[in-house]
Amino acid sequence: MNALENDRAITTFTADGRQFLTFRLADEEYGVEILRVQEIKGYSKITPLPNTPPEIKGVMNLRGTVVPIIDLRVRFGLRETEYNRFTVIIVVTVGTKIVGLVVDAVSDVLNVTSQDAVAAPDLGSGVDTSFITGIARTGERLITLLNVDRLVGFSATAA
Amino acid sequence: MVATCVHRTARSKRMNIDGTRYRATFFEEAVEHLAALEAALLRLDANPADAAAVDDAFRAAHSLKGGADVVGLGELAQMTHRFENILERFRHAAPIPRPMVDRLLEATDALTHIVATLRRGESPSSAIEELQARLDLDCEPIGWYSSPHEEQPRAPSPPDSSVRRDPPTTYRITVTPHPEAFRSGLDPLVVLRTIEELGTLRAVKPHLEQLPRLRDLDPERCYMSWTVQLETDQSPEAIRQACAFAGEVVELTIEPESARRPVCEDACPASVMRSVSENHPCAVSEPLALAKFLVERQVLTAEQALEALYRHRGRYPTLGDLAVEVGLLTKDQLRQLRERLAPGNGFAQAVVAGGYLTDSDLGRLLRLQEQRIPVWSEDLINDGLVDRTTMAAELAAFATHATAAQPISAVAEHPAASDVSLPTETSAVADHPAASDVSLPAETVIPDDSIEMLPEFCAEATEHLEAADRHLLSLDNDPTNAEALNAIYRGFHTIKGVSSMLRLEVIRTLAHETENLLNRARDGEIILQDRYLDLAFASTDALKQQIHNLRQWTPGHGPLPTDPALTPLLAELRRVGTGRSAETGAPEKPAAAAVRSEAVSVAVHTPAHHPGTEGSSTAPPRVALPDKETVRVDKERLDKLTNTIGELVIAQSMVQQEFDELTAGSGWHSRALPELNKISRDLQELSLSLRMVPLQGIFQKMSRLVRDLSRKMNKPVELELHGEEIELDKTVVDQLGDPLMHMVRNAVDHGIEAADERRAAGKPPEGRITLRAYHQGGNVFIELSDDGRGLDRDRLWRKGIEKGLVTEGQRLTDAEIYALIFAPGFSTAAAVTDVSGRGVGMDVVRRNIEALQGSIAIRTQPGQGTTFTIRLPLTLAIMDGLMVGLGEDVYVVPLLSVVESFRPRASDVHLLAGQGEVVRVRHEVMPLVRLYRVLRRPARVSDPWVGLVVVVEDQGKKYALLVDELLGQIQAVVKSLDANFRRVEGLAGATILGDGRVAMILDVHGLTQIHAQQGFMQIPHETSFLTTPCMNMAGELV
Repeated sequence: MNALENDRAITTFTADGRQFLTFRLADEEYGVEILRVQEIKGYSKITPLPNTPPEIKGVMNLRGTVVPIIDLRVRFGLRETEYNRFTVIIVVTVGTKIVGLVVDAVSDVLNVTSQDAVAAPDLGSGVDTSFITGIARTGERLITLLNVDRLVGFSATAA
Repeated sequence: MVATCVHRTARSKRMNIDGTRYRATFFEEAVEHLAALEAALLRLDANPADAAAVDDAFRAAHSLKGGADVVGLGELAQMTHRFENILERFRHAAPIPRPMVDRLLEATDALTHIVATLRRGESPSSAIEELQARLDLDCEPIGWYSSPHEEQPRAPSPPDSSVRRDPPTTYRITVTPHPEAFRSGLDPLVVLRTIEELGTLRAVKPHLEQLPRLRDLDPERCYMSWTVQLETDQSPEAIRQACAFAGEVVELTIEPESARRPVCEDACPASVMRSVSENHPCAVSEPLALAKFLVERQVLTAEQALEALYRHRGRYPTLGDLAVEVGLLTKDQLRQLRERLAPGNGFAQAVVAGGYLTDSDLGRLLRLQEQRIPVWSEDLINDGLVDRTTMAAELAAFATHATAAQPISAVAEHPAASDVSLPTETSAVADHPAASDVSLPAETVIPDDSIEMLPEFCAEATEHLEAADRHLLSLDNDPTNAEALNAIYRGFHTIKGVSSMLRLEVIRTLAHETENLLNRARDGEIILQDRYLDLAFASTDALKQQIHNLRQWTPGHGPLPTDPALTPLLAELRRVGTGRSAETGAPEKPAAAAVRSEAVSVAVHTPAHHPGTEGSSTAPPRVALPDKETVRVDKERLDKLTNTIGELVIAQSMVQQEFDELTAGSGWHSRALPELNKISRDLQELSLSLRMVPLQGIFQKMSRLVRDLSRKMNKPVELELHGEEIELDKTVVDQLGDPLMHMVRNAVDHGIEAADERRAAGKPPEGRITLRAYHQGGNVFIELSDDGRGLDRDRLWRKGIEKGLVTEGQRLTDAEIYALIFAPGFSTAAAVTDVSGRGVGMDVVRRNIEALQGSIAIRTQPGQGTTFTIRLPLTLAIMDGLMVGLGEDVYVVPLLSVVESFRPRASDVHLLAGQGEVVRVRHEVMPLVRLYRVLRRPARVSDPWVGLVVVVEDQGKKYALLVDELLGQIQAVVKSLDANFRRVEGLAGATILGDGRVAMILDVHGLTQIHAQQGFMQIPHETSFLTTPCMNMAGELV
């Protein structure tokens, strides 16, 4: 289903190139559109939310606002690691909502033009790639560009 | 000239801007006024004879009109004016017929619609037309009764051909007060009211044709007469007898309404003639004006002038003689007529009614009579009161005055300004009311229902007064500034309207009198300069002082004393405002002029307050008042404020905690931190109080609903309201409307029996529903009780089994059975037809109430009625909670649902075979809900007798919630999870603890739901801790 849609997505966003914040998760690099990033926070105390999917690690107090925290490792089915002082939370906006994403480490900011990006390959019907907008290449690095809205659609992840 | 024009334009532009600026405020107020109007009408509906309700409705309509006028919504003002007129005619004529109340309510709806449309900035033309039609409809069957108030339309009444003439008999009665009637102390309206009591008024038509132009109007003369159609079984003699007290002063003609002539045909040539002649400058008004002038010039004494005027009147040629003279009647006919003429009967009416003359003939006769009226000045000379040369000189002087457009009365006032006791200053009117009728209530008892509106009124009035001051100053520079004058007038008019609504008599009287003064200025009778301007300033100052006093006043202070300094000011105002020159200390008389009838009503029911001294206006010193205004803020900003302050409080406690950690053991103390703590708490309380609104609005909606339902179902139901003043968070109040509506509908529909059934049960046929709100223990309770048939326990039970909600063998308490009506799906059509089939939307009710963190309980007694009790938190923004520990987590249980907490003994915990775990608390047995299991979180304690159970209540059922430990109470600032996430079952929200951590607030109902879903299936794996003896005891508990 995605090839066509992703193509369209790429053509719409790469007219003049966009900036992505890239981060590491396990051994891979990912990117989220920088305009969606509100801030980057070090890991702090998270209050667990009972009876929610496992990737919802809980909620955090972000200056008086209660913000849900999603562990992307769990979301992507990767092996969970202990949180340490390098663990970083990227706070992104999804519509009117604010969500924190737990990642291993933040790398840098990348300018992606249409030349640099290709659509996500079809990995077969069993693999969900709906939240991947494309793959960007810079030198030897391959960066998976994520669609935050699809990644954190709460209605989809509802328990 | 050009410059002036430009100046004017600029000014008028500014006025427009002012108008729109106040429009938003007006709409807010309009909604309130309409609500007040509706409330009053509903009261009327309950008790059609409730005169106070008519007054209230009238006041609301009047205030709405005034407001619409001020902001330049002319059409709305006009509509409201008509509404007001309809009310007006019932003001002294209660009871209002029910259908009329219905229509007035519909008209109120239409008005509400118009206001809403205008508010959206659309043109409500269609709505206005509809309302117009409605109002026209309203006027038809009863006729157009305009009482002589200042706003009355001078337009003739609409044709009244639809007058019904039912037996017994309809009489056509003309009531013609003698022009001097007021001086005898008789209010002709009393005659009308007396007549009205004798039967049913079919139509009342005032004859305003004789009203002179305003500058010629003598407020002490009666220029009006009325034609009344009365349907009564009384004889004409009886009617006459009833009005005998009026004696000679009021001319009464009574004739059966046999002629097909509807009242309104009176708009005939004769009356036209009459009005023409009366307005003729040489006519009656001139002798009066001349008399005043002569008295002021001390050519005549007042007594002489008065006598001369009476004599002069006597010399008018009679209509009969004139008719004979011109050959319309023969002498014989005239004699016959006079013989048949009942004493006091009007010749003109008789002659027309008898078919001797046509209306047009009468008109011609009247004109002839006019021409034949002897010249009064000649009369005076003939009587030897004035010699011819003096008269000529005086007439010349009078003419000069008249052409100088300097009204006589105004001239008269100048010398009389401060010297009110000179008898020589008397005008032709010898015994006019004087300072002594300026009576104010010694104190103002502020009605309870006005209190909450006081702050708003004060703020509004202050604004108006400040604007008035500004405009008065501009008048000082440019006395011809009509725009400014009108602005001041409108301000006072609004103050009058609102104060009247709030029953603040002193302010109302003061505003009213000032309005009169301004009115004279508007009519060009006086120029607001020097003395008059000072007077106007004095009244704005006095009003400001009054408003200031009002602000200082609190409900605990008792009645508000009247400032004695006001009386002289008021006397002065009244003197100038009604255009009289001085006072003679004559005894108090009922008001003469139509404009003053309102003022009189003040004097009548309040003790007269005689000033010890009179004289110059001793205005209170002009005090610069602290400006206290209300600001309407949009809700979003308010929410943000509440949130931010909530964060401040959290941040503050974080600071405190950090400080404590840093200084632990050092013995350091902060003086600043406790202070900060107190301030931030105060701030929080303040921010929450900003959101509180009274329940009044929603209660009122309910009374409307009950009324409509009872009408629709033909079931007489009365609604009693208590505690409308109780305040709740606006969010709560807004969301309460729906559930309350469902409940009231159910109560009327299913709770209250049909009248026959009630009678058979020995109950009064009228059902009674009581809606009561009260505070208890930090919560607000709203009780809805009916005296209907009550819930039928057995039927509910059977229904429950039918629906599969309960099983045959289940043992339920009464409360649980009654709670079945809240079950979704219970409210099917079948249930509705059930005798006790409440349940239409009751699941919605419960859901809504629970969404508000509230709970609902039922009490019922078969045959006696049902009571629903809703418990609600004061606000949703803050919640009192109990902090409990579970493993590493902290949870908050809403204190509202907490009954108690304790550590059970091991022997009190049982596992009932197939039924789950229970805890015995004294004589109750309740399910044990293990929080860790429901939330699937690790816990430190799994044995209830090691940890603690918190007994919580959900829908009348108790549960024992097992937690590790109690951590204390918290005032939690509620943060919703939806804002950034979604609802999570079992959680009501989150809050931020003092250390900055987030803690979840538990939703007790959700927890019990999860508990029920989880069932007993998992238990066997975890029940090793349950000791065998407990399980054995299960038997004795079943």
